[in-house]
Amino acid sequence: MPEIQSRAKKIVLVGNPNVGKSVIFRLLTGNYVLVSNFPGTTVEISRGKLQLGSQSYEVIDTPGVYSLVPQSEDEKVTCDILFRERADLVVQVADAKNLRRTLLITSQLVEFGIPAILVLNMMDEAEERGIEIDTRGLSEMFGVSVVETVAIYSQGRKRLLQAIQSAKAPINPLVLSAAAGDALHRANGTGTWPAGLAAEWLASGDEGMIAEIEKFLGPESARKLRDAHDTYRRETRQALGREVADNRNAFLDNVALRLKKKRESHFVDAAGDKSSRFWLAGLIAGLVLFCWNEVGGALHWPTPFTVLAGVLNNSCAALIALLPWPAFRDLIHSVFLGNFSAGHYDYGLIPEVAHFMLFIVPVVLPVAMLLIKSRNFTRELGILTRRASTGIPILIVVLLLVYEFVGFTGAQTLVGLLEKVLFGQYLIPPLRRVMPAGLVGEFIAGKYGMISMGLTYAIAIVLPVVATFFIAFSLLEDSGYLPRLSILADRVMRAMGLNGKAVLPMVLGLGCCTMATMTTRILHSRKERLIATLLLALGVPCSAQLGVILGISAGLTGKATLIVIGVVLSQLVLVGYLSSKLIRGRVSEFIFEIPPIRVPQMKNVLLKTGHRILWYLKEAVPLFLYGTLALFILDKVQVAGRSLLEWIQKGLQPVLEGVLHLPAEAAGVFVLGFLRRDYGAAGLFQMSRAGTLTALQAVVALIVITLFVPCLASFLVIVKEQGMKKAMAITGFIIPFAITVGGIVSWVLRTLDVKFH
Amino acid sequence: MDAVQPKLSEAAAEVLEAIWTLEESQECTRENLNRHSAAEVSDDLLASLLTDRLIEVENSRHVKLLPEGRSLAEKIIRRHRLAERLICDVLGSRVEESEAAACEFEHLLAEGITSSICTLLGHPRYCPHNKPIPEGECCRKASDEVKPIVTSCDQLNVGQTARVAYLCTREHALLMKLSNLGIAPGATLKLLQRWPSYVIQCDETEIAVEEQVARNIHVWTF
Repeated sequence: MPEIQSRAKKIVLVGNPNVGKSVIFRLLTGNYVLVSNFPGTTVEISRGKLQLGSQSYEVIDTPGVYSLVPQSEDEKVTCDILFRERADLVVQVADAKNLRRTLLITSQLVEFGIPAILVLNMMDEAEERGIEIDTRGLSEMFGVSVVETVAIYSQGRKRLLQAIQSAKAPINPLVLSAAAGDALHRANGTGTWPAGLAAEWLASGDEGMIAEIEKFLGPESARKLRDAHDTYRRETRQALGREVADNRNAFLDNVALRLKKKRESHFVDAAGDKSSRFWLAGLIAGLVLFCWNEVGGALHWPTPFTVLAGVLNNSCAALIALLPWPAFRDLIHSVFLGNFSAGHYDYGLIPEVAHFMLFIVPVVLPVAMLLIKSRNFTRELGILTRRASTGIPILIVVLLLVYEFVGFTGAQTLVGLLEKVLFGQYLIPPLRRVMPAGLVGEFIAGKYGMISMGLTYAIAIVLPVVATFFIAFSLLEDSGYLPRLSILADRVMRAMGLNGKAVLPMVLGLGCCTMATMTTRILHSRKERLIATLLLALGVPCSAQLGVILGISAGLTGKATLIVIGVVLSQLVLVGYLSSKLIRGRVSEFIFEIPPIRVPQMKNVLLKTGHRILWYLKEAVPLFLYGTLALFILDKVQVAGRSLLEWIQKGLQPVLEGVLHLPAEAAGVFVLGFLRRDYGAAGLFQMSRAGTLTALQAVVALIVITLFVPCLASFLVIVKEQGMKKAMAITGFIIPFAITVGGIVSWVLRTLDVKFH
Repeated sequence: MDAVQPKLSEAAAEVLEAIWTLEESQECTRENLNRHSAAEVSDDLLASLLTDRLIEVENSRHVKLLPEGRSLAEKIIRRHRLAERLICDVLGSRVEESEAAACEFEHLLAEGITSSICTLLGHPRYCPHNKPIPEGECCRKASDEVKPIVTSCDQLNVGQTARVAYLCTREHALLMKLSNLGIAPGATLKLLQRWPSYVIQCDETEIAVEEQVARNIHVWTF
């Protein structure tokens, strides 16, 4: 007899942003979803399966909400799920530290009457801050099971699974004022829909919201609700929803006060303490010195390091010269001075001393002192990174470190190994020998061959860069550092018609523009979303591009990097400023919850990096191959004595040679650039290595390709988010703009006769 | 001192209030008093005020406040105009609407509550109609201590703790956003930094806001 399969029950996860819904989702289903210490990571719902005994469940992960009365697009998604999916069970995931906010959602959720579970996640952080919660009282009040977890360490998983199997219908403990209660009762006698919540929606409502309510409740209930609303307004001159919200707030204040206790915590804000002023000043000075050394070194300017090391070197050299016995003298010389020349040093003691004095003493020592004093490493770091005086130098240091890691370790060392050694020596030449001459051989290993070009670009040039960037990015993401940038950047973003919150999609754009364009949903107004999308498409290079750009320009000089970054940034600000004036609409207020700094979990970082690399291989590599195929065909098909590619080169010649002063071969690169910006950049990389491009030309080409249209995938996402018309408008603006800027930069650099070496 | 004063009927209070208001702008005669008072001015009422020595009538036409009546009227006016301010500033009603509500309100306020409201509002000197609010004991005290007790969040010192009094905004969305994060009347918050953005700690959450938003959060300092 076949077993009767019971229907899969639906479990919906809801909760505040950044409380670990996705970690719980992973815990329940084993599916991989992106997890970060970053509010707004989840913008789309994910679904997974869970099997408990004979019962199967479908688990749905949703974007974070602050309230079930939605304020932004991503919050609407979650409310949509709750109203439409007919869930059998709602699991509310909560940050145990913030009980009051948690219960706001709980009290709204219980109005649905769906069985619910409250998961108090991050219990470790709550305990560390001395917070105790009366979970039994909570469970009795709302009629839901309360489960304490530390999801990232899988603590509490078993209890959660038990609770899922035994979940019951909740209680709505909210008592409304008599008039409001009556009004809602008249509208919703049998209590089939969340009346209080719907009334709040109505009160918060613009026209759009009223349509939403109708969609969710059905015309009949919506009409009853509006009647109740209007009657109430006539009788009391108040909005019904406002009254419900006030009642709810008063109730929650009371509950939170009763059920939560807090012991004194031991945390001392060392940076805010007067006795630490000395260390704080030292730290700031140290960070500035560090930046000066790094940037100045790249530009071959005198820096404190070169000066100090030079002085020490000369005086020691003079002293050493006085020593007897030449052999002894040479020994001492090599030990102390190493091989010091022109700002570079080679493991001598003296340069090490200089390095120590300029980096370890002013930077490491004050940081260590502050952290020891505060007795809480991460919280103190959280404070240092959000203040302007320490935050900005720290930002520059972080950028420099990422630059070193991606630009040198990734783009120089690893690319060198893969491209020159693996592909260049061991793969391509033998392949060329084996391959028959003719079309097939060319197809595999020719100039536009699938392996010699497609795979070389994808695996040997872009992959190492992308991988190193993903590692750095995942670390920063999980540490909670990135959101702090929005605090630093709010005032700048405001000039561009955005607010600090828009830093998040911008920074995510450095990972992948496609994802970031979707993340613009966390922005509140349409104007902000449009501007952010435009800027992402225009000038925020994705990780692959960024890496290639860093790689190429690091191969040139620090000056080249600075010019490329400077021009692109200034164009972003300029276009942002202009579009903030041209695009109508308003900028929403900047109110932003800052996640705490956490020590990144190595496992999550590796998992995330691994998944991103896999994603890259799956998404981007095929495109690389298609692109190569397209070039191959263009190169082979002859029309009127010339190949199509040559025709394109000839067609683009006025622009390329006339405006940008680039060689005609660059045309192929721009054709690739249409497909993926990083593909185009990789083409430039090879051209500049092969010496086809001068440094100046490389700088110009990099700027143009960075400002150029984004990849095909992100164009499709723009169409999806903003509509075809706006997507075409954005593209139509960007292409001539990129070429114009490139032309101007080229002209300025040539006129000023700027040299790169 | 309060105990000695006679208990005033609502109608009598309205009349005293009307006389004060008229004296501010023009002469107070029997005729325009009738037009101006919210309650009906009967001869009996005037007679009882006369016998209580709160007012006097000159030339059987001009009505004037006597010192005792003046001090009573001053308190009523103070309550009325503070109520108007409260309704306009805190509850966000329009000036025209505040008048009617304030009339109801003024009768409900005890002396202690009046000075709390006055303190809450930062000892305002003018009502929404730009008429002076008579000073109370609390205002005289407050002019010695420079800072009002209710202030906006951007005025706090870094590290200072305060309790949210009210959110001054007409925008529902902003109100919702703040209260969803826990910044609602009654909540305790701490200002952590002012530059480059304001950072407020509320509960265990750090919230970054722009200056304009911080200015809209009004708080009681401790």
